[in-house]
Amino acid sequence: MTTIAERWFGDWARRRRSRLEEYGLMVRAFRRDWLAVLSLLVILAFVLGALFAPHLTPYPEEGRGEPNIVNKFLPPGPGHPLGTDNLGRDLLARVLFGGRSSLSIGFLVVVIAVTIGTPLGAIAGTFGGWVDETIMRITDMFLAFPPLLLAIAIAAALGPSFTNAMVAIAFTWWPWYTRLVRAQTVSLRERSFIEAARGMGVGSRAIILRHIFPNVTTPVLVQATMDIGSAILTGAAMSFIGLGAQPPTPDWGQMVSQGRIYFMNQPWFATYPGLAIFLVTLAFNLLGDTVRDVADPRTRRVA
Amino acid sequence: MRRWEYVIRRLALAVLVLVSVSVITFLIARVVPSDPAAAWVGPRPTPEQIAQARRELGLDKPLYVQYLRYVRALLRGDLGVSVKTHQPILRDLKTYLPATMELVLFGMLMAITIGIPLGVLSGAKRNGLLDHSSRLVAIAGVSMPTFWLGLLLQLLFFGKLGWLPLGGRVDRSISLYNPVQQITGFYLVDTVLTGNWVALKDSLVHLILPAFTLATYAIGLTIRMTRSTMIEVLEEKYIVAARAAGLPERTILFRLALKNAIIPTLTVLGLSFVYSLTGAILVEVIFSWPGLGTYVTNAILNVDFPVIMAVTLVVTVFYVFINLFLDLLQAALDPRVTLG
Repeated sequence: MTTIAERWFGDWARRRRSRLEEYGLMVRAFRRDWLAVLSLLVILAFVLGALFAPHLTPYPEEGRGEPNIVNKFLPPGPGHPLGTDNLGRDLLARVLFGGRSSLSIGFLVVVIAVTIGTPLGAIAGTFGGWVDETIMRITDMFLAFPPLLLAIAIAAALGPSFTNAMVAIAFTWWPWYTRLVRAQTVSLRERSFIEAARGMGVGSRAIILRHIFPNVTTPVLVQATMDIGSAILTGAAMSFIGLGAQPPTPDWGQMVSQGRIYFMNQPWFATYPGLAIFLVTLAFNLLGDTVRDVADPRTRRVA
Repeated sequence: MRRWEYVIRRLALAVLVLVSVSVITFLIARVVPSDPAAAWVGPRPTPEQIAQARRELGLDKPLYVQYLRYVRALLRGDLGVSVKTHQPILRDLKTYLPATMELVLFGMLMAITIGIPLGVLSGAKRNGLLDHSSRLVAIAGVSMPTFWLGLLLQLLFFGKLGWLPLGGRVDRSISLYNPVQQITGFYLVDTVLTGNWVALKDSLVHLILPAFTLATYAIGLTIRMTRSTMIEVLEEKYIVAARAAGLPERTILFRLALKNAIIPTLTVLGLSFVYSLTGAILVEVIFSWPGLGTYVTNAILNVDFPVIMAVTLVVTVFYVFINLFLDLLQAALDPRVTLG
């Protein structure tokens, strides 16, 4: 029997048949979980909303930060479905544009953390000895700090900005991936296909690139999916205390912080950006849970 | 013998970690782009004043000398001086730290009293209504931005219902007519010690909203952890035996099963405790709670690095010790834990 992938990609797919079949099973199990599919749709809606914000709202310049003071504090209603803020800007436009920094900080933090953490973990696990000891003691050092607090300290030292907040959070995040990948690598190291490769004289570099990396991809991707939600939440917290994207650039955490002063009389101002943070984080957490269950053949439900 | 080796190894690691923590806070304070000496002097300094301040603060010495001084001061309990107020930080911490601790501990109390019973009952009736709603609460609890939840609770309980105060530790009328005498800094303790019952009631009322906001994360985790270990434990033979002997369900769940299900929950509670220490930063801002969070966020606004680093250091030391304590506790409680 030839699969669709083999028909399209021929030899490449035939050599990876078992892995592709595995992915097929994962997708099928995923589609059975309506909550996960719904979460994916929510995430897509926010991502597309942020990408196409200039075309989706009649007030793109307000979304970017231009004030329109005569319209301040309009309650949600026709023309402004979510109301307007303290400078008269359309809140829907602000929330859509705010997704740009709030969502990208979550993605980028995880991407940076994976890029730093994975190779370090693979190196520690493959070489062992003093290399392993050094790398792992450094990760211990970073993990000894309360996560949010270290990020705050670093971001405060670098100065408040979107990039600095992102760097600061990523700086506290990579050790988790190093630990994960090292643990995987150590258990792979003893397996016969790695021993065989070593016996044939394959160098450590090639072993890491050709044999370790492909086998840690799934656990790393699963962990990354589960982490994006908390990365977004951490980014929102940082910008809430003034260490993230600076006004007039919109950002959900920062908008909640501005709307807080007016919350008793104009609750919509802080409610909607906060709701956006909550929905996106919730969606990523639900998605992450399902991706974890689906990626593991023991917890996967296919029938 | 093995157990002692483990304890010593774990203690040595904690010391190593504390040293590196001090190096990191020291270095972060050093790589600051803005000049600490200029910040010390105040607005519009002359070059002479800056040079003077540089000498006074020891910034002209080599880096390792500065670090050794820093550590020597730390060991004496000297956390430095605020750039903004020129007050010793240790004195500020004596009022802020107990406020945060009271908030965090009260929140943990809520997590225990709400989270464990709900976890036990959801585990007992798997896939029941309570189980599904507690799963919802748990996953919402870890996805909720605490600062936003705090605002919503304020709007409901202060704005709409008027049941609970907006923020602060006590009402202004209390601090004017029945001021809390500072003994431990924990208002609940101090008011009891001095018999100031009006203030005790008022501080309790002020604690409810911020502590609950802070505890949502811990409540969610506790419910899930208690539930999953309960499910495992309830399948064990001694529970089946107890059921066969006709013991009442209450006794089976809360006395027999919970005793064995509680150990992983304790670890989760410990973890939530250390998480709450930093979560308190956000909650305190929302509820104008005069604790470490308010202190550090003001310091961020004022670019007051000695304060930021001192708070980071103090909270991290707590974090390290609680983690150490948890590891040792778990090793002591559960004989199956492999030490290494």
